[in-house]
Amino acid sequence: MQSKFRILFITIIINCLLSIQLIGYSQVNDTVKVVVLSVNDQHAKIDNYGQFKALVDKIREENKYVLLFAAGDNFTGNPIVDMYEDRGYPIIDLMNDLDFNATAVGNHEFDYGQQILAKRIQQADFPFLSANIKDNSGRLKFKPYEIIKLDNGIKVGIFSAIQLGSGGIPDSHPSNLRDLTFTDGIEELRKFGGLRDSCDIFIALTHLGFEKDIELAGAMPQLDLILGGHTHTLTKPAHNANGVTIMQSGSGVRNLSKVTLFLVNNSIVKVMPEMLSISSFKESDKEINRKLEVYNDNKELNHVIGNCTNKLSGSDELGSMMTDAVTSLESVDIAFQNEGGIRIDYLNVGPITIKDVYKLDPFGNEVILIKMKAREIKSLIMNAYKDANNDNDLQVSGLTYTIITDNNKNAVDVDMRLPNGRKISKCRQYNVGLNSYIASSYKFEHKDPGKSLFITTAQTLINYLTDKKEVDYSGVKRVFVK
Amino acid sequence: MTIFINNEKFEIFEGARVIDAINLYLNSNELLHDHVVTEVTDQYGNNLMDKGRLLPGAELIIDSELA
Repeated sequence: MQSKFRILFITIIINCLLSIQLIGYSQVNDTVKVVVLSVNDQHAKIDNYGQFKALVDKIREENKYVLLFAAGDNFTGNPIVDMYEDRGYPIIDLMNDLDFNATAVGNHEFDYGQQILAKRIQQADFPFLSANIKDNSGRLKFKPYEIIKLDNGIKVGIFSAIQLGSGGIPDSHPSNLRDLTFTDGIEELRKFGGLRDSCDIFIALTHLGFEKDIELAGAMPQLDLILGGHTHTLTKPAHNANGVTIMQSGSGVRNLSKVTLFLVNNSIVKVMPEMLSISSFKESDKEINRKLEVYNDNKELNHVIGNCTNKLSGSDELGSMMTDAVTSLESVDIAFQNEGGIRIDYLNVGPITIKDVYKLDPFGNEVILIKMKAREIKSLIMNAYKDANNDNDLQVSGLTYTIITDNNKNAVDVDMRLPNGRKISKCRQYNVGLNSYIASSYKFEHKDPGKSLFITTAQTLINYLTDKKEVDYSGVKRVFVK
Repeated sequence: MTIFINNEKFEIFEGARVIDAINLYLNSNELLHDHVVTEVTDQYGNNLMDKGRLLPGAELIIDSELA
């Protein structure tokens, strides 16, 4: 009898233990992991894509549910991609290989023009999202949001908006934004707040900039994640604002934001953000690397865009050509180029290639437009002369000028003349184009703080040479010292 | 637009990037020719890359040292 009781007791204990174990097992099984990956501001930097693919593949091997997003500015920053005969094609091709789920529309998406952007959108196997870009008739130009349904029934809602500058347009050259209207990104996203009820994971994939993402978190606490771009911020690994996790992974495909979301009964119970290094990942995908070798073969850089009819040598001739390219922009009257930004000594007679332009002007400076009066232009010229130890530093277009010096070679005045030989007007305000290095690091009087035209000086030269086809600057001299 | 670098107020052109803020800061403190920047962060401690766009009111911390 005693042994029967003992057997019964042991059986009950075993059953209890099994039940506890089963309960535990069931809880583990009910927890679902969804991994959300994101890059931003790739800027056409394709060189790390082999490592990028290998890293994403590894994460996909380890996790059943993995989503991959880009938070805008996929284009502009690598001539291999930007000057590809079908501009921007390589980066979208590679993004297709990595199975991106969506991208935000960033300001640099417009850099190649709207027709080419339309081609890239057609090429992409993933949607371009933005809720605050409309055509002239007020219709949304892009899909504002996407709801991705995972095969376990979990719904992931993603929506997007683009940053606007103080002029009410994104940071892109206005000629690229014709026939488009833009509305406040955060206001537009708030209108889609009801999406929260239709999805289990609610993500803003933004191109607003980090500070604006914090503002968005304040306005929309129902968001789970904000994956942002534009300011090239590298969060460590994430910022929490108003209960919303915000991440940005720097720029140039060097880092990858990874957020592991743990869900029980389709509700997020835990958020685990990590910042992974792509550039130091040891493995690299061989097929992607083979593709990169073909893309990096530099055919595009050897593309001939113009012709030099006479050898162009010295900073007077080269600087005159560079500044003429800037004044060829319709909004610019006068342009300056500093000596230190002219990086080759000459251009030989014959074809000029894209590679030549990047050798001449490799810094990625943008054109900054500043409204200046004669007195302010004079202060720029005189300070530059003084800071260059009484040497000529600024080449010019739209003007010729003579620095008048005293016996000690110090500048005492500047005689500035328009191309027609008349003196520059003292009353008129001129639209002066400076490269961003001069605009930020030269000392000169200017009431107008200026604004970027969001085009690089190198790109203005490529456009200028493509348009002119032939250039001859032999003997051109616009700057004198007396 | 107005930005703040190491708690100092600066005016810079609209659409400026982090690299422009670095140049502005180094030049205004006479550090342009002999200092190198070691790190740029925002007020939240996040690292900022050179080509990142600045928003109005951005607050940057620029660390530099003698080259």
